[in-house]
Amino acid sequence: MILSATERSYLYELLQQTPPIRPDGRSNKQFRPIQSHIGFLDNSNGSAKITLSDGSECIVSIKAEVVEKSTTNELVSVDVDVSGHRDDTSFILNLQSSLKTLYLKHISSESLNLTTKFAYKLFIDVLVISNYSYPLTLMTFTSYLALNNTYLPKITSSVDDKEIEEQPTFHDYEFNKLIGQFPIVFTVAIIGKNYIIDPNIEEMEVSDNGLIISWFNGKPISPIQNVKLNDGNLKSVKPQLILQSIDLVKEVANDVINSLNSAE
Amino acid sequence: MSIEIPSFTVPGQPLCPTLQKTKDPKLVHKFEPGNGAILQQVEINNKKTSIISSTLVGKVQIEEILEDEKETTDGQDEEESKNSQKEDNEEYNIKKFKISVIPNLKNQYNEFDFINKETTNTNFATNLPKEGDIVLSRVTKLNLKQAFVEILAVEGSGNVLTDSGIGSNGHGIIAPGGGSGAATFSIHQASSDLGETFKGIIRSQDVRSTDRDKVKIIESFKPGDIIRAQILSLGDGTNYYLTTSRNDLGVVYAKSYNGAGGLMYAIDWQTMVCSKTGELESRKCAKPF
Amino acid sequence: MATTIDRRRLLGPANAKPLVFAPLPEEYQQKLQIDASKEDDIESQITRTFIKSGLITNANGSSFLELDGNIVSISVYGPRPIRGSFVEKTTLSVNLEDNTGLFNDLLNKKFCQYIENNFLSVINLSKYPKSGIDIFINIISVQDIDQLYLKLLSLVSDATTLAIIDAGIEIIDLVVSSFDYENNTVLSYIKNDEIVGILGESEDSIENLSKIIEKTQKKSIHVKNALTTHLISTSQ
Repeated sequence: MILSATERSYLYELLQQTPPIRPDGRSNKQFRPIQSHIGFLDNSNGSAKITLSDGSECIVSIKAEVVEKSTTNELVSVDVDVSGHRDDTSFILNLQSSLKTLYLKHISSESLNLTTKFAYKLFIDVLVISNYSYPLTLMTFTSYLALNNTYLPKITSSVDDKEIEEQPTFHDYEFNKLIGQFPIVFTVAIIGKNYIIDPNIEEMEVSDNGLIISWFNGKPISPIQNVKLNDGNLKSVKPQLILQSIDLVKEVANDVINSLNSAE
Repeated sequence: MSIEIPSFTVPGQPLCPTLQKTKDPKLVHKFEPGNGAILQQVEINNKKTSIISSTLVGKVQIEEILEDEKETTDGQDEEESKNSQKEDNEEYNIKKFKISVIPNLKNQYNEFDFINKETTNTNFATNLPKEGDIVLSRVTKLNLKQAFVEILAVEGSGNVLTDSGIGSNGHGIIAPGGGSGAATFSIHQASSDLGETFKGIIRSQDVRSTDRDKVKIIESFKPGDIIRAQILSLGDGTNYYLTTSRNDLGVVYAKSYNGAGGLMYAIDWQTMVCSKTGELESRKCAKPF
Repeated sequence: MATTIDRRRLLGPANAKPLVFAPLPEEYQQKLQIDASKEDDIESQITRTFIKSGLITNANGSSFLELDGNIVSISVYGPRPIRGSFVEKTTLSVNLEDNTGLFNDLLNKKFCQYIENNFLSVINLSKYPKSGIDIFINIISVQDIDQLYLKLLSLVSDATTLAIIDAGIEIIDLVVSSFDYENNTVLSYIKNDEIVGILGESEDSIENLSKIIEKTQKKSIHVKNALTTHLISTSQ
């Protein structure tokens, strides 16, 4: 999106005020309203869709496969597809690397464990159908919903197969819910002395810098990094602002988790 | 002076404030950033002030901006003085200086550069043509409506690019995705068009200021001619727009018979003569003196 | 593809290949022991560092940096003219070439993105309209890709600063990066206390970020002094 010089300086001025005046009237810690659907893909073990007020839309599908633990080193695989971006661009690869490190680290292998030899491997496919702002937050929120509503087939054979050559067998229709905590990522835009959560496209365009902060198990965690929210206006930020942004995330994170948990 | 300006700087080093008092209470020195310097806002004791700081490694050069030059940029001055207290302008004498940083010349090309070492800056990175600059350019191709040129040098600052940014021996590397060139263009063409110079266009109506509609490009320029021209605008993505509609602008160097013949001299503003054969060819010539 | 052939100058034979040396056998690849106290001692690290600018004459600017088994060289090309639509400010592209075979795609892009973000905020972009700057990072040797990759990143960032200066491209301040081993975090500073880049990949929570910032900031001031001294001593 391209803003004219006047629009840009007008927006920048507004967002510089204390408190910042955001073009859609939100406060600095307020998210855009989201609409969610869960479990609508019959062929997946878990699925979710989130639509944002600006028309951004993300679908996540989670599938599981039984793998031998000795031959598989990673139990989570993440695939990212954002419409309008080629798969090999740095934008996509960076999103993918952020998500992959996040889920590999924080989806516990115990929750995917089947027997002493076998385990589930999760394939998380993230598809962003339309995208008008930095999509990482949207992607992790949708993945959070999908992971939270993932049902894996219940094992009926013996769990201890150390001595026996046996493939695990599963119950015909009973499922176990995937248990665990899942991480989410917040995007904070820094503009002047202000910091705003969940920036929309106009706010991104005028922001001085962006920050992504991950959240897991009630704590801010790494990866934390700065991201390029626009092409030409990046500026340096004071350390204080980064710390304040983390405090902002701390303030809102539990409410976000609670509302995501209550989604049905 | 109350603050001493450093003589040698590295990027980020503050050089001086924009306004500075002198011993004479009526005289104020005003500094403007030139090449290698940038205006920056800093906060000192919770007060915002603007300073000039360096952006290159090199020697600091201070030139006074003379009064007659000031008048040509008067419109700009008035706007600026709104910020720096208008009444001050009337009370004080303001002496203006341009402060620039001249990078150390240790590039292999510069060993041969004996001329004007003080004023010419051959480090290409700071010499991209700006609006209003006079440039030397070479004609590459013509059509009925315009002449295409490549820009060789900016007058008073030296070559635009010593090596077109592709590496000094023509074997520069290009990123697999097309690198920075791919940002605005498809990958295939970006990587096949390596090593191009900055290009320009002289439209037929910009060749001269009289009888603009009767200009014939073919009677004004020929491929291979070296042209002195002025930058009209930054143009589009590919081309700068140039003009030669001034007496001192136009062809300065040309050879007869499309470059096959001898060197030619201008005998009037639209004719050149070959010194060996006496052949006359038409060109839009620059006034030599 | 026919369209990508450069027809305008004489090139080498089409089937020419660069010389590649076989990798060293395992017993010769000695891994340096990581000593946490050594990672924190920035002053001795600086004395162990070798820097040289301008070695690659084919580039507009280049730098070479060596520390503790990490060897990187950076070359900068540009500002080179770009084609297509008009851009008011220069575009930056960063590319990483890995000669060690230790980098995967994701780590490669992570490095590139970090360097790009850092330098987008310091290069005087509006000075170079209609042009692009290409930065090539060449990783020659790596100390420890598993635990010290962010240390390598901080070195790459410092080397890029030097290469950009060598190219004569205007930047508003020196970017200096410093790495905190304990928390596996790298931060890049300008003007002593402003952050242009942060990348934290620690195992624990980041509640102690303010301490990390304090620590890396102190380190970065040492690095900045060293870089400034180097620049002045080699240029004068």
